Amino acid sequence: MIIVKDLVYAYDSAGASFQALRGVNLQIKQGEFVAIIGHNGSGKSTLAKHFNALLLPSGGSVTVNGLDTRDKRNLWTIRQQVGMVFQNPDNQLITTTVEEDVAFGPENLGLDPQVIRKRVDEALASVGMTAFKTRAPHLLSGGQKQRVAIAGIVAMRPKVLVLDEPTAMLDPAGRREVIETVVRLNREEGLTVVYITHFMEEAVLADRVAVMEDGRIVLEGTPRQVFSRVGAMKALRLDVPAMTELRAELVEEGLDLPEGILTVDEMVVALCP
Amino acid sequence: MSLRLEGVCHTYQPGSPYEFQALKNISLEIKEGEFVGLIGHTGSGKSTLIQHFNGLLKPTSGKVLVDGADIWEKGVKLKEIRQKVGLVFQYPEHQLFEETVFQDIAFGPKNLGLPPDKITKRVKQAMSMVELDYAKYKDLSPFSLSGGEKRRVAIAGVLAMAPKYLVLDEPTAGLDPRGRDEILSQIRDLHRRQGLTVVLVSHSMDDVARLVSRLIVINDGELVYNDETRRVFAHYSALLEAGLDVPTVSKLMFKLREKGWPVRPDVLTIDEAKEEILKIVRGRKPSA
Repeated sequence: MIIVKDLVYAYDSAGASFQALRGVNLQIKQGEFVAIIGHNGSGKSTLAKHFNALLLPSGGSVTVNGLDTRDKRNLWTIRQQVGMVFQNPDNQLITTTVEEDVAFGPENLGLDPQVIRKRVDEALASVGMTAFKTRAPHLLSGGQKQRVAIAGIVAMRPKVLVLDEPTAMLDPAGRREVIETVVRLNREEGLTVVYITHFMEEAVLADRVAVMEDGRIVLEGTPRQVFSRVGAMKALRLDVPAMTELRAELVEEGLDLPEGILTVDEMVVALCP
Repeated sequence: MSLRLEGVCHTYQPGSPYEFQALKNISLEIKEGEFVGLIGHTGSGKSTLIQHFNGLLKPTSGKVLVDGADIWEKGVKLKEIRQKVGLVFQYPEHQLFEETVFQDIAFGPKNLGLPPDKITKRVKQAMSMVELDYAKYKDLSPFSLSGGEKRRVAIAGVLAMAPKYLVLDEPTAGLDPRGRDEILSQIRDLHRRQGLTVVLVSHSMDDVARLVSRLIVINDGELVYNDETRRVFAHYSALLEAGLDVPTVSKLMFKLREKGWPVRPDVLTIDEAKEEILKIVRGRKPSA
């Protein structure tokens, strides 16, 4: 679906150039749920902005569904296929009612009013916000706002949903709402998802995790593979799930526990077979 | 010496159709030298509560006492109260406005009317408390810094007022794990080394479990728990019902107890959980 090849990107400011991406290779398959983690400044967001041609490679290439992002003729097709949701919900909602907000994208596609109506209703249903469709977006909770922002993208019928720290500004309840919505869209509607986050408990839900550091992907694999490398993750000063860390410590004490424990339930099963 | 609330109620827009009782009869005390956590989900009244600590909000009824003085009594200067009780809001970096880091941090002490050499001293001290190198950062624009650095500048601005009580509203929100760990370890040092009294508002149960000795839980404007941290988290089911999380290790202990393991319910850290599990596993195999 998305193929990133030897991607290099340099930001130029005030005569100085800064290489934010230094040779990234990544393939995202259709229907996959890929989480990208790493510190601020590691290049995560710069990479994400290449997926829908908000940024264009300084070197290497990015292709979406076979379309090269550097070819200007592909721009609108790519933007329609790859939708982005950002961190701050308040910067993304623009109209006075929830349904108008969700309709904004489809309206710009020049669709028939009936088609727009149908898409808006379906998109709101898919994020569980139907009951709020006539409400004012600014009166919603953070989690609800992000779900409306996601619905606005879903209504564009994209193939890929890219979310850049969508839960960073939310409380635990809001975070749960958003991640559950994303997981559902991926599993039930088959949407390909690229999910940037600092929360490891969210990253464990992905099919695959890519860890970025200093403009490169330094670790990649299933959440089990990546997080069981407790030492490597700690060296990068990233979090590992508490249960993975506990497992490593118990194994050091001589307990025999299976590799790749991520959650409390898995730990309970391992301890009480 | 303490921060004390006595029967504090706060009602927003009283007498209007939008009347909303945000705080209901809250009584609590934060003693000098304590490190207290405050948790509650969004809308529970946390932010309303902390704005009472330094007189930004006036209780609809009840009293707020700072070091024994009722701050709403005649003759009490709120300016002095606000110097004594420093409040760091959520996303404090949004409040940076000066041209240089130095000027931004110096803003508060300048308003106190301190002489220039004292101001410089305060700025230096505050910057060292949040581990920002004075020479390297003082002349930079705060807007050229990273998110974590900006936040430290904003916190230094409050520290430069030399407060006795420091109240931080979710100081790690939106930071990456490295930035979060830096800020939290600096806050712990402020408490341990500088002897500051700290109130930490947080959504992260794992963080408060590691840091604070006492925990205050509010839900729907009411005080639900006010107790030692480990005793609060032992109320596993009640906390979940209130829409709050518990630390991951507390969850594990609860589920192991359901399976009949006699582990302590009040475990807070991974190390403690390890000890509990080892005790049982090793107790089972007398041969080992």
